[in-house]
Amino acid sequence: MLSLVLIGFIFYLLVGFARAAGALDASGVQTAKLLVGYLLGLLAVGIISGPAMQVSREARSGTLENMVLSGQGLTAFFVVQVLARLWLSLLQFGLLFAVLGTIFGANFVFSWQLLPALFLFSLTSLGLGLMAGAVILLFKEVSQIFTLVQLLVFPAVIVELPQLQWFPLTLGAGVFRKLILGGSAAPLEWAILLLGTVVVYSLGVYLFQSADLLARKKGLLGHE
Amino acid sequence: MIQVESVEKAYTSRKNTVRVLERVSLEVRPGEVCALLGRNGSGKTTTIRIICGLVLPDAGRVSINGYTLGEPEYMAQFGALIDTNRGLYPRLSPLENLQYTCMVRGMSRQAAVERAKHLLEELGLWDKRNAPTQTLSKGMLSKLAFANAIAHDPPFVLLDEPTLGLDIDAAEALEAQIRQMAQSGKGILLTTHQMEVAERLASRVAILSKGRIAVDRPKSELMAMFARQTYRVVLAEPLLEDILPMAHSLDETRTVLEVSLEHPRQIYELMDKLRPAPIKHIERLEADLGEIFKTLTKEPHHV
Repeated sequence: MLSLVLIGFIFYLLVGFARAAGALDASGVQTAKLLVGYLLGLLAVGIISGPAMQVSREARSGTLENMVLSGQGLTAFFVVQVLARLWLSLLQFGLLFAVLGTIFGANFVFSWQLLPALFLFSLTSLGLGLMAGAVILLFKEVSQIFTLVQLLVFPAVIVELPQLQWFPLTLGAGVFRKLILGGSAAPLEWAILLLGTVVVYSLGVYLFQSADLLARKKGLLGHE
Repeated sequence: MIQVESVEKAYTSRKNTVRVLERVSLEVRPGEVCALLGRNGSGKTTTIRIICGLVLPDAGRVSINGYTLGEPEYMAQFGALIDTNRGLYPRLSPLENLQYTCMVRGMSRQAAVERAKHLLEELGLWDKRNAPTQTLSKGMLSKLAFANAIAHDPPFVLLDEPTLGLDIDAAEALEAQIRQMAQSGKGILLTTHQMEVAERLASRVAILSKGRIAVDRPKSELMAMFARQTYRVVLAEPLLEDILPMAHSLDETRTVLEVSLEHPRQIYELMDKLRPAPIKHIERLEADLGEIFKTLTKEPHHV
């Protein structure tokens, strides 16, 4: 609960600074866009850093070895763990949307299309998270990875950069943003988003499995 | 049966390559306690970790009950205790830890709860079943880690230094469990630096030296092989001269000496040399595993 209040308060300050600097218009559309980007950014950072943090935690407690011994496969474990936590993140996400949307008078439009957009956005984040987890499996440098994820992902999702508009994560955020603000996404956008998500997620799984194999070849599994 | 065939492992860094295991072959049969002994860095833990699938071998083959490493059924054939201090979720209770392991291993929730309760009762941890695991004593943690390793009731159990750091009561309790498991038909492979533990528990001994198996024999056979070479001679009078170059110890009274012979026939030669001092008693000594271990790991031996 405290984290939710803190997240809301930080956004309140962010909007306050942006308004004082004249960066937001009076219509409230930019504020709404900023709010969507802010919350999607938080969701993405949470999902992306999930496997990395978990790998580090399990390696410290020695339970990473038990995961291997269970015969289920490390990738399956971490995907299931992230998905199990995702419902809580989505609940918080929805709550913050409702509260902050009301406070800032944003006119959000809730349609069923938001669900596949959010699903694809989350799956892309999970794919990126597995890539970060792969690095942690081999190098165990969790704090640097976490900082890097925050520095790269958060601004990329909040700010709509034309250079990144076709990157699956930012495209997913863009589609979601359009839909919730009452717009629509072109079929081409949906197609590229779906394809990009499949590519990023598959690449994440492949890299994580490769890192698992390499860690076992080098005897690095379970070392802190 | 656990079969390790010609397994090789080397770790390569930028500077050099360290060969940890060279053509290691080993077998553990059901109902057998096989002690894998070796000095630090001899490759014991790497062998165990390779059997567990935590480290992949560079060459060779590992199989358990016909399933090779990599097959889904392989992992169900064994339980492993890799580190008695780690491998448990500290904030979960012992009951939750065991239940989780059982469920991850494919048991239903109900079966997992039953199995977890049974193990906690059997290992004397019932009173602590709901306490956070991080509050348990070292002995209790070790018991719980052991229970965690055998939670899914596997036919083979791998134990890496299971009694390390335990007090005498906890170590004895664990040894009793290991014996009981072997009696019930489970195959056990354990590594230890404590020779007396291996001597008490093992029915088979394999000694790793410099990454190679120096010896792999039933313990009784190994003890017999070394026993025939060492004799204790008790004299009726003190031995005044050092007439026996092969005697490697003589007590303060100079009446009790230990002699190592290359061949049993040399006993007659020994008696001749000792003739000035009447012999009261001669006995063939049982070599202890520690001595055998030292002998075999001093220089590369292949028995």
